[in-house]
Amino acid sequence: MYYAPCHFPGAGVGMLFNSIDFLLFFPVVVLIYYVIPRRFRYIWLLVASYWFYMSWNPRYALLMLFSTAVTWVGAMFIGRVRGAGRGVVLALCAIANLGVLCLFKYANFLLESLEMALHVAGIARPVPHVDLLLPVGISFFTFQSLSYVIDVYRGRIRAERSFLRYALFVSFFPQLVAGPIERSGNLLPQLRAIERLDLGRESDIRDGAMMMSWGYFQKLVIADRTAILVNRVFDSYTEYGAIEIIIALLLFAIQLYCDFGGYSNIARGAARVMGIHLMHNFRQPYLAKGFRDFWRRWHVSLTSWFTDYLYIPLGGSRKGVFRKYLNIMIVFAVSGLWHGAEWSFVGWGVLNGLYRLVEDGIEAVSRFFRNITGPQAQNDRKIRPQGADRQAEEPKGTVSRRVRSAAAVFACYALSLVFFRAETIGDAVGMLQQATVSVARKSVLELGYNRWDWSILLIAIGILLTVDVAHERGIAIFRWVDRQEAWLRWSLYLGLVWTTILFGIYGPKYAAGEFIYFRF
Amino acid sequence: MRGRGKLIAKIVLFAVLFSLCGNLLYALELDDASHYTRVMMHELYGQEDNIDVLFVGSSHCYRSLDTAVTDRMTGMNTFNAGSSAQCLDGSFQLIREAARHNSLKHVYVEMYYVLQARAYRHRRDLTSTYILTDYMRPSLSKYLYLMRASDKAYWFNSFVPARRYWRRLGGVNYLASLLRKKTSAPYRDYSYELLSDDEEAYRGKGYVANFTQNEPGSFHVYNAFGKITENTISEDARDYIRKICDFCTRKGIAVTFFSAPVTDFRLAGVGNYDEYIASMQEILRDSGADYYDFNLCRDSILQLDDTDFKDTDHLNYKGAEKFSRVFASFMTGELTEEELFYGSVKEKMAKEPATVYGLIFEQQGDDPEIRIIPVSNGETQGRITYTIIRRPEGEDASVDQRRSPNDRFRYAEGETGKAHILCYLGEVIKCDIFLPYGQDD
Repeated sequence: MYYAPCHFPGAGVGMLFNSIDFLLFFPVVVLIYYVIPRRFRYIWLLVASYWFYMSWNPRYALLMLFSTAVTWVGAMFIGRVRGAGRGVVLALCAIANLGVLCLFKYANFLLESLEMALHVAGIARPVPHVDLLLPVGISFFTFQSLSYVIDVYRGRIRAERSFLRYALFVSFFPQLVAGPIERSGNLLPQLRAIERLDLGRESDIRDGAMMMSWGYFQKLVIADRTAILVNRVFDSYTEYGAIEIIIALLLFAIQLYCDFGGYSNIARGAARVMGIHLMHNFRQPYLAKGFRDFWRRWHVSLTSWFTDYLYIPLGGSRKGVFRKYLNIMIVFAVSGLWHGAEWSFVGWGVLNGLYRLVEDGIEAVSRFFRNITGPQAQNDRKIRPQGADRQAEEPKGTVSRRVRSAAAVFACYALSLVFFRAETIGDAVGMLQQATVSVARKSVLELGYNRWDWSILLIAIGILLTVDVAHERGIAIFRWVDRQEAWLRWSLYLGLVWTTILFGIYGPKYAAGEFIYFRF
Repeated sequence: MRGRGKLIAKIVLFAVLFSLCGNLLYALELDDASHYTRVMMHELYGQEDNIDVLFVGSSHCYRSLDTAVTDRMTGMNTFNAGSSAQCLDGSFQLIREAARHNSLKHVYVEMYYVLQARAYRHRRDLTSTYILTDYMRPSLSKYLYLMRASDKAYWFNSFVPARRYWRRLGGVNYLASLLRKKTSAPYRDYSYELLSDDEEAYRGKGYVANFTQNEPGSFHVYNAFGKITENTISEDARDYIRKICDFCTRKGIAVTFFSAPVTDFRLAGVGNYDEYIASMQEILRDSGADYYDFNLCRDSILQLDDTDFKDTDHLNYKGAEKFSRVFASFMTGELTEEELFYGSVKEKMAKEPATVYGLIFEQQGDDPEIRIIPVSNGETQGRITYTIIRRPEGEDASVDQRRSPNDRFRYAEGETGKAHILCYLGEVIKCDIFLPYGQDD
């Protein structure tokens, strides 16, 4: 069996979390972190973070340093002056940061789009392209540093006086290349406290290690195993029928969740081992009741970033129904573009925006009918307090209704991912068309898995679902494990680690599969 | 402080339990119930402070040197630490292991030329490394050897062995049969002997006797042998030759490099084997060590025919016995270099009467034409003829040609079968080969 990991432009051989390099790097960093005097810890983390980032390409570090310097100086200025100058500095910081992002990530996309537009207008003129490598994680650190300047501008936080500490905030290696996109209000105070706190508590190290192990399980056992089938079908979709394409789409939805969710858990776990708590990025997204709920659970740090720094400044829902939905569509389209400089990503974003619109439409219609027909609705109207959070007051659904709505959201989201995974919009449409040509062309044992592989995959997905359902029901699995007797607790630790080592997809026959979100 | 100590103790305990689980899983995966390297390594450690002479090298070493013969003839305790596809880094590690526990007097390093071209860092198959490290005692040098044996992409497999054959854990029948084998008395006592369907047997102190006997006149290969080039001895191999020489000099151990005999068919087929000998002598010029190539042995002293080999490369038990006697005589000085060796392969071939050693069959892709290239030594031009009888599967045999100098034969597209090829030198049949054709492999 051969596994060809997706190769993303700009991603070199760097220190992937699932590489030997990181497995050697991380314990050394942690050991030194705890051995050296506290006052040097943040400097050590800064050195380690730059080392980590430079493992992809040393030149990238200059770019990150530029972004760091601009936003640090800008925030210091904004923090010290009053009046219109603050707005100008904020705008300059935004232009500098987004300019770099545009240059490296979107220049060719914009030029190609211009060329296409000229072609449509009948002007066949070739537009020059730029030859630049996409720096790993540029979207993440750009957004993180930008949010810091905006927060200082809004007066939410004070400007950080120490350049080195701020540089660590931007470059902190566990979350540097694929998030979570941390907020200064959460991470900076913890970085300031490194010198004061008694770090190295057993609970932090244990919880962090557990979180990392679970992340590796998600990434290596589930995501990279599903990738075998997904890559095979997406790479030559014309050889497959509807059933295989549906299986590939559903598995890609699981792959994406476990790849990015796994990464986030490893990142959070690695930070936790060093006593630093990063924000949640995923909250059981495939158990969402609807699309509004889904986007509160999926890539939480990015969704909240767009809500705080784009949706609300655009007017949010305060300027009427039309503006609200226009704003939603803008946010989803930009979110799509953030993921990749391709029209297919914009298509993915727009489709998800449409899901939101349709969902709100269906809710409004059903609410309207309930209001005019159902006695329950009358009661609801009486009970409903003015201005209360609609989500909170909705009656808890029965299990079957929850399963139905979660399945519907999962299926719709999986369908949208055809635009996310396909190379171009043409490929995505071609794949959907292919699904209408024939029902099935191959047996499930001709999709890259034998019975043994299928068994491992299905059992692993079962474990994932069990853990997610437990979390959804308020059972914190790590806490539950902590409460068990020592023999059971240690058996579970060892079981998780060995399951990942034995059944994970990695190593010489497969190569280390890159994390999908490294491309962003 | 106390809490920190407790935490460290827990981490250490976890590491120990992790390691125990790994060893248990690996024991469940690895079928070494008939591995002779396992017995050899057990005996190597069991010989503590007793080995005088150590042989290291590849299968050419453990199949060629019968330690019972060398012990008897030299009066010393010799030990054969050869293992499958052992490269010089493995040989170096074994020398160090043996030197740690024994007062070695002499080390003989076997140098099969095909293995010397490898770049160790770029190994993709580490089986030949693992069959040694699996049975080596834990030491820093063992782990350094594992690290240097491959690119870091392979380190996980190297240091977490349970990962290597994890798929086997899914075979219930496999696990049950393995458990039976591993709990049997011969396995536990390291006393199993017959290996590989009775074709080979471990005869103690590292020697493996092979009972396969080559049919006279049956040597053939598909496509030509690789020529000796300037890359035949890789930088890594040169580096380890230096390391072995330095180590042995430091420890006061005499070191000799040698090549065990292969068939004349291979020697003549390679064409320029003398360049390998010259390169080895050049590399060792200032090292204080010697290189002897036993392919240069005079026929009057070491008479090997086709039936002394198991295939084109390896001696069988008959050949090994002959070779071991000659080797032991050379070790003791009973035979001198001048008495024993020709100056070159070219000289050796020239001294032999004109003959055909075997045939090379050359075929381009799926083209249903096979070209026959005779491998010979002397003036055979114009004297070689072929009789070819083709036997397509499910059909009667048909004679394509009789005693014709035509050296090509064709078969129909999609046809499979066997061709009976007789090669004549003058009036004498030199090769008698049944060649499968039209098959995928």
